[in-house]
Amino acid sequence: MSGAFTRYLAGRVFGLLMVILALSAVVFFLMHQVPGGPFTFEKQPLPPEQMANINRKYGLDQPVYVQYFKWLWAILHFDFGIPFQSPSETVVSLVQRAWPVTIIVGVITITISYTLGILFGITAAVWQNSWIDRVVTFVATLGLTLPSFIIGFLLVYFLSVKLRWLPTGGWGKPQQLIMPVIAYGLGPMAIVARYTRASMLEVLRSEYVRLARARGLPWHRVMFRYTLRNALVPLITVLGPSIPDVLTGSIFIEGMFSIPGLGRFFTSSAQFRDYPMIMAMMLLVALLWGATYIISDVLYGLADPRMRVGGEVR
Amino acid sequence: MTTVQLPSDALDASQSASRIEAADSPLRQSIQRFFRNRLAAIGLVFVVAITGGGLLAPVLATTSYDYAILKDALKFPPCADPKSSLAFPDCMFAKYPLGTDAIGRDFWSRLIYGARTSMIVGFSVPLITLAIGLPLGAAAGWFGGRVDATVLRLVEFMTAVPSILLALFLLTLFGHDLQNVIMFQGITGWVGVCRLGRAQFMTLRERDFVTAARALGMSEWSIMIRHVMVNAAGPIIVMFTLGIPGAIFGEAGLSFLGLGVNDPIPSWGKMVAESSRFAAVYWYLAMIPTGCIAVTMLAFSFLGDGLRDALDPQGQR
Repeated sequence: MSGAFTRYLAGRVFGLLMVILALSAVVFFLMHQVPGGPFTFEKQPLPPEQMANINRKYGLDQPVYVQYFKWLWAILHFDFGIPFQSPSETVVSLVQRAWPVTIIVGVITITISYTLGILFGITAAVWQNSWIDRVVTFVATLGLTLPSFIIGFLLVYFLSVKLRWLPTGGWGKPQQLIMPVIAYGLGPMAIVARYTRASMLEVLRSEYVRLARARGLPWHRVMFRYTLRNALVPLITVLGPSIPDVLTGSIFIEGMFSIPGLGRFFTSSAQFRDYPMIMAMMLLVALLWGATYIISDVLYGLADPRMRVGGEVR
Repeated sequence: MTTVQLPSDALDASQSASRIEAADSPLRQSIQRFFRNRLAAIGLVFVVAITGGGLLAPVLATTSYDYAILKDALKFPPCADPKSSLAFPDCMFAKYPLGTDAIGRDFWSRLIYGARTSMIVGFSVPLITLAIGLPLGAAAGWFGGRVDATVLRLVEFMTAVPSILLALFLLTLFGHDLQNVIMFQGITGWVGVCRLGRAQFMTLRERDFVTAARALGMSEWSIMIRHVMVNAAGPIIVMFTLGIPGAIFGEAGLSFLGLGVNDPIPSWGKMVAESSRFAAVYWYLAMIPTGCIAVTMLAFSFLGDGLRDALDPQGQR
């Protein structure tokens, strides 16, 4: 068992590394293939001598494949280069500065939205077709369909501009977190609530719950021992994939509420043709997503014995 | 996941033909089920209205969407400016039913043409994803083996980075306009369709009617098209419908960031972004396109959910 598991895990991690390697190569060649470069300015182009100099400094004068292998070699030594958009620091220090901000927002968002989502889902399922169920379903539908920037705009308009309760954005004070967390968390909360509800209903209708009730077991025991435990397991596959999404930051939310996180570098890096930063962001996102998929599959296997197959876990 | 059972399964089971004669045809049953769902029917009405608005944009628009008259900038719709009702005594309603934007373009016309932009994106992106994802998924599910492994590698590769980020990256590198927004959303978003197609073809391949068709000497291609495709149509239609709000969402978001459709072509997402700077006074300029995006997204989602329930009665939500 444990041997098979280790082999399975090693296979998955190896697969992930291969995918990231392929992806990095494609992204690297693609971004170098596009005409222009990080130091081509339309308004005031650099004189050719300076251009040659600056390209030499950053190694941009070499063939692309040489640059790629040099980059790969540097990455293996944890050297991610210097971001062109902020040359006074390294990519690592820039990420170290910006990512914690995103992680703070993300962790708060995940904690609140998942807790509320699960609670709402359970409530809606237990009192199915009651007004609570209708309200939860309605809010979940809104949260699922409305883009976060729309929710953000509505929040800013009503809570900041009209009522003047909250600051429109910024970073540092706790009240500045309220609106971003709501705008950001409504979507995940809706997904979680919907899935929890569906999963709860399925278990509540199952034979073993009916049997437990028929045997006269107390309600709370049926609920906690029989229903919740089985209903919440499938949620792992739903909860998992939305975590990296939140942890890498939303361009919309961070831009709208001027949060100095990682999100805005997704657009600015591509705009500035900031090759080292683009590659670093790509690696970060791909690693996070890949790791989350693997972890949620493993957790699923641990929680549900039926999925515990030596080789393939779906 | 249970295997998806379709009402059209009845089509292939000729032995039960006598039983079907008494009841309604599966198609009619589906239609009845669809219209019994009130939200889905309302969604359909809105979808027809929005699509119609987009199609009839040249007729419905009062002026052209890109004609700017700077001295008329930020006019309030009915009769006056929101700041001082005395400033503009002459009624502007006929000229500008919803007022003007920050550089004096007719807001109503831009809104209507914005619907057209949304609809173009909304229908073309799922078509592209279908064109890429379905053949790949079908091949993977039908042939299995090495074909399947190759397609799965490709899917794994595409899911390493979220598709919207990939689209964003491509758009900033290659430049953004309506055509590129559609193209890049299409070529980054086909994974879902591919997975669905694979699952459908894989389960349907094992069904008795396929074996029967093969025993009757039908060619592999005709089985795939005349039997398997027909049976897989339901979930694929649902996927297509639910892909529409996704594409509209993507376009609105990208345009909101300034990486979508270029001026002067109007887009609701861009209109929200442009107008939110004046939201303190000219709140309706941002609120109207906001409402349009919200209504469109809801309408297509309800329609898609309704279609799923109607086409897939056994399916679990």
